[in-house]
Amino acid sequence: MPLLPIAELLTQSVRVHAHRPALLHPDGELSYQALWDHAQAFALSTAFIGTPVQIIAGQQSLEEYIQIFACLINKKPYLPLNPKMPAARVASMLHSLDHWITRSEIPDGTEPTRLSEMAYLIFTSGSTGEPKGVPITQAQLSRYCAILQTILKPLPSDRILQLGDLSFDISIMAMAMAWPHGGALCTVPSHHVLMAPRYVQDLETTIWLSVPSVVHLAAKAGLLPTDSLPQLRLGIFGGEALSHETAMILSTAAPHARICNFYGPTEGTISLSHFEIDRQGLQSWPQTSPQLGIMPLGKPHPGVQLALWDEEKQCFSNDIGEICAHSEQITSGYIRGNVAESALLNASAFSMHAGQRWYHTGDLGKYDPRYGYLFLGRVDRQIKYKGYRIELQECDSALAQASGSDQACVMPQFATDSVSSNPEIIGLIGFFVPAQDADLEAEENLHTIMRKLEKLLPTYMIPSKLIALETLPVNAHGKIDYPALLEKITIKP
Amino acid sequence: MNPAVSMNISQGVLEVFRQTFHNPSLIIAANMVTGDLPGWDSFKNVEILLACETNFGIRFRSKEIDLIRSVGDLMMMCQTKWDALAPHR
Repeated sequence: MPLLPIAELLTQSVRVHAHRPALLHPDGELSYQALWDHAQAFALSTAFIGTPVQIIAGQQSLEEYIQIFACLINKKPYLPLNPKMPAARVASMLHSLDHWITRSEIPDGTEPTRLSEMAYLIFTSGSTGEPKGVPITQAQLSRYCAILQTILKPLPSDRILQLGDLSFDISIMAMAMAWPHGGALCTVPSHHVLMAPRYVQDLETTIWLSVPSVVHLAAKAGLLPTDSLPQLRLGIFGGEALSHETAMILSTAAPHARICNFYGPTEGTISLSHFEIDRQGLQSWPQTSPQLGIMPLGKPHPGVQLALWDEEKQCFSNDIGEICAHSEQITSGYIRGNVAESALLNASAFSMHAGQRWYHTGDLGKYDPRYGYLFLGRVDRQIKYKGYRIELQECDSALAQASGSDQACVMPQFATDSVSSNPEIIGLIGFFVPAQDADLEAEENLHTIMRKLEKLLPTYMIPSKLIALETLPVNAHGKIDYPALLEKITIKP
Repeated sequence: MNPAVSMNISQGVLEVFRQTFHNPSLIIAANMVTGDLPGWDSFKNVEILLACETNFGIRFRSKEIDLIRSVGDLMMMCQTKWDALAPHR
């Protein structure tokens, strides 16, 4: 059966579910018909017609959801921002976007994705210190809706929790679960996101979707006691490593829910694999096994091939290696600075093997026939913190700039009480060697650097603590000795 | 502070903030919102809401949480719920 374009899927959904709720928002509730009417009215406005890509500021207002729906049904791409992003970062993204739009008008075939095919664009942290845009096409989003239908079978009666900020593609997963299938999207104000259990109870939400840290923190506040969410039929995690402990918390709070762990980078159209957690098995889960303290990433979605890349042997292997993906769901390239990179131009993220194009996720994994793929950590200095993917190199560059130093390094701080081999990241620590005339310990200097960092980085990328050193430790190769820096910050949470 | 909010409620909310932020001399204003104090994030908001529930013997519903965007909104909501419970006290 041919796959319907995303615009057709949503149009059909409006036709069939016109009077069902499509959006439950703090500022109002909209039926599918009302959402359609508002969206089409917006599509006739100059704010929509006058721009090739719709910029969504990310305030999570009712109007912004209407704008996104308008984009999807009218085949117009959108770029979601986060209001906490520093102005300089937003300016860099918009500069990249402008440059790409200009070049997209020239059909020379060198652009990674043509504007008319694109559904949305999300910028992720870039290793050069410059954010890189990941374009996802309407066809990829349509296929993703079909994948969710196959795996999760969302129903028109479902009410789906929407907690993610709009620049985080877990928010698109929530929309893809709700709107093509006649379900209702239940949004929670971003400043009250950890009150989500209360919303689930009051709004009779049936599908929980969040990063694991929301469950962890809500439980810490006492909001997820046993059997507190009996109406949940699905509990879905994504966006960061899921610990056994967090899976247990939701499983215990939601005694009737299927619990799933979804895995995938933004480049793979939200997710590439999933693991459905056996509720009975969770009780006797061997979490003390270093490789099972983090819940498995599971098996690939339909239409996705995963494999493990052995960097030393330069081939795929059955042993531990970097998780790579081959699929039509993988983005065709990046948009960064003045350059739109096609897949093969960016050798570090994409490669060709046996005539197939593979995306290198940067995640280390191994395959287990029982559980599918297991997550073993990051192969480089890219980390996941608070649900965001961060290239620490970008933090290093910003700290160097803010401190006026040419030696700066930002390291993740890990909780040390975890039994897992992949302990939770609880913060970021910045090390730097001050300029010669600067006072090493002066609080005033550290305060000034922090203020500068706030202008350079989003909040979640700013170190919580700065440590001035006379020199950064180096290894035998003269490179920064990361383990030595980690030792300096190993403290109990 | 809003004159519709009683001294009992405004003082109680102030105490909640002082305890949550571990600062006995903290001063708050009706127009303050998340992020206006160092460390004021969504986790602090949960602590503040739950502490208010405990202090005043109330429970916020999600529709009511939607309306709480500032310190002033929180005080008004606590007052409204406190008053609604008056006949039962």
